[in-house]
Amino acid sequence: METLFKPQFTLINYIGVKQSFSLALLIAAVALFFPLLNPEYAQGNIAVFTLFNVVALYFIAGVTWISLFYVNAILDAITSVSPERFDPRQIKMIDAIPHDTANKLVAPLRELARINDLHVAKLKEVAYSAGQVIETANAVSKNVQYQSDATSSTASAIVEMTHSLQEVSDKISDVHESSRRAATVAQDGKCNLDALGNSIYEVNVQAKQTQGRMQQLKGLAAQVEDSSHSIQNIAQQTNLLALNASIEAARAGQFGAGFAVVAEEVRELASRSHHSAEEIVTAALSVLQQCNDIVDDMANVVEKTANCSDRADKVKQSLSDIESATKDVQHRMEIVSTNAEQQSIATNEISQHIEQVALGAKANADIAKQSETVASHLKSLTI
Amino acid sequence: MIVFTALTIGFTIVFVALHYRRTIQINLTQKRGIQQVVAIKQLISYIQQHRGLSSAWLNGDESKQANLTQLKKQISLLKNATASQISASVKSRWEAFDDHWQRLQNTQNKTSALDNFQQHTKLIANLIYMLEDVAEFHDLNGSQLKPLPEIGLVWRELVLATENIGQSRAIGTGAATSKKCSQVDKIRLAYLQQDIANTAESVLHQLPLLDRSSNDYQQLTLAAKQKVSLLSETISNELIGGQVVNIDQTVYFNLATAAMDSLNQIFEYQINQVKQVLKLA
Repeated sequence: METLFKPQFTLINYIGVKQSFSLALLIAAVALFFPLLNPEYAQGNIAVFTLFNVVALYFIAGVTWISLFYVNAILDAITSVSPERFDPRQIKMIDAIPHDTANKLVAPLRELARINDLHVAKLKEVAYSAGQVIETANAVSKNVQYQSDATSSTASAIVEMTHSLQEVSDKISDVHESSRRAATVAQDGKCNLDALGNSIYEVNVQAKQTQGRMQQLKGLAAQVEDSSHSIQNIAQQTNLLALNASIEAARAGQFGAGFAVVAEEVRELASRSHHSAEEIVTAALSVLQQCNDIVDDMANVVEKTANCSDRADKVKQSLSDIESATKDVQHRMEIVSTNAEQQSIATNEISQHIEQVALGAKANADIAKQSETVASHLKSLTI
Repeated sequence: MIVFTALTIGFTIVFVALHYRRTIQINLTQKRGIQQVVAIKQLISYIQQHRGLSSAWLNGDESKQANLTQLKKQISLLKNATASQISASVKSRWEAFDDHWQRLQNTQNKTSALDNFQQHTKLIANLIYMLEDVAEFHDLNGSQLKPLPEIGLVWRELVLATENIGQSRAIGTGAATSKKCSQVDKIRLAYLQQDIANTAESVLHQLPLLDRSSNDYQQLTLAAKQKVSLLSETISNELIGGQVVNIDQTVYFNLATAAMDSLNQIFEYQINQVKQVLKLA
């Protein structure tokens, strides 16, 4: 049939559907009505009349058939569009269909295709967003696992720290007792040291007194020395006079007059010697007395010193006790220090775990915020 | 017989006259169409620039104020010149664009950067649809331009690819400025990046070509493919992949602009091909 109506198709291709249909109908009308309006001419030219009628019939049949052909062609074109891609550009209209008609026909499909493309794009975004949400959920899951691990570790560390703290508490009680003992010993030491101070003060006073008396003794000794010198001089002169008297007595023999003078002088000297000797005795007695006093004082000093020594020994003992107690305190403090160090390590671990928990919480908060944003975005895509 | 001959001659004359008239009408329609397509494409480029500048201005860059004012004047001039050419078939789209543009200008100072971006993007989407409608309604399709059977890719895929790069430019520049790419921005960039990569891989090679041995076109395609691929890799590595955005905003902006320019050059080449077919060039 297409071959039969090929001329009409050609006509349509060249001048368009409306125009060719109009022209075809015009030709048919002329072919039909011309013989009717000119019957004489038609009777005389039966062949021409027949030709006119055939042409009219041909064009009318052609228009009818081509119209049906177009309807089928349009249906075929539309149904040939791939539903997956739904691109109206795939519709291949035959050239004969008027462009305006074809455009009007395709325009709604193009709009539908755009809406379809928009939905496909949104679906792609939704799919990608869903992937992001899954990744986010995984990230949250990991963070929660980290937090769980960190919390378990923190619990263990807290148990360890509790034991350590109990030990520290016990040690601190011992340290307190040791300190109390050290304080008592130190108090005793202080009392002993006070007594020692008093004793030493007394020794000092006694020593000063002894010093003064020794000074006096020195003066007396000087007097004794002077007296001794006088006696020595007198003794020398007496000796000389005695020597002279003996010489003169020997020379004069009978002439003993001078001897009497000498004898008088000797007596005088003897008297003075006696007097000096008495002074010396007196001074010597005084010195002796002073010496006795000094001996007594020194005895007191010795006694006091002995007391001081005893007290010093006691102080030494007290200080030894303090030293021992202090060493004990030091030892216990070392234990406390070790425990404190362990506590510090445990505290650091707890701190790190808590930090991890905090970081995890912050990461979760960020992720939650991102998830909220992504969810909002997903919601906006569905509007 | 004389009558029959006379009628045949008459019908032939009518046939030739109608054919001539139809040919002229189609050609005229196509010429009008190509003028409108060029004008709308230019309008799209202007609106894309306005989207970037107004976004920067809303983010506190006051230096863009002068450029914005100048650009608005250019858009206004082009809009007024194009309004009289627009066909009745796309009149409703044009009126929608005109109304949207007026509202966008009135709310420029009150809107947020995100809303500003979304409104511009909708406006551009409408213009892109309008461009394709104009091309189709003016017989600038593969059916009518026989030497360019895949010309439809130019009116839709190529323009959309340019717009996708424009969107990635706007989003990426914002991320590079704040040194932070939000999850939503990453999702949108990932989607855009897929489309951009697809353009570089397939669409550019499917575009129609009058002279397959043309060195100019091959160079244009090669340059565009390289620039688009570089941009796609940059989006993937610098914006989507990393936790921190290190790329400088100017570097990224220039990369995206270069990719857009390369696609615009291909668009111009295709327009010239259409003009050649229509014997306008």
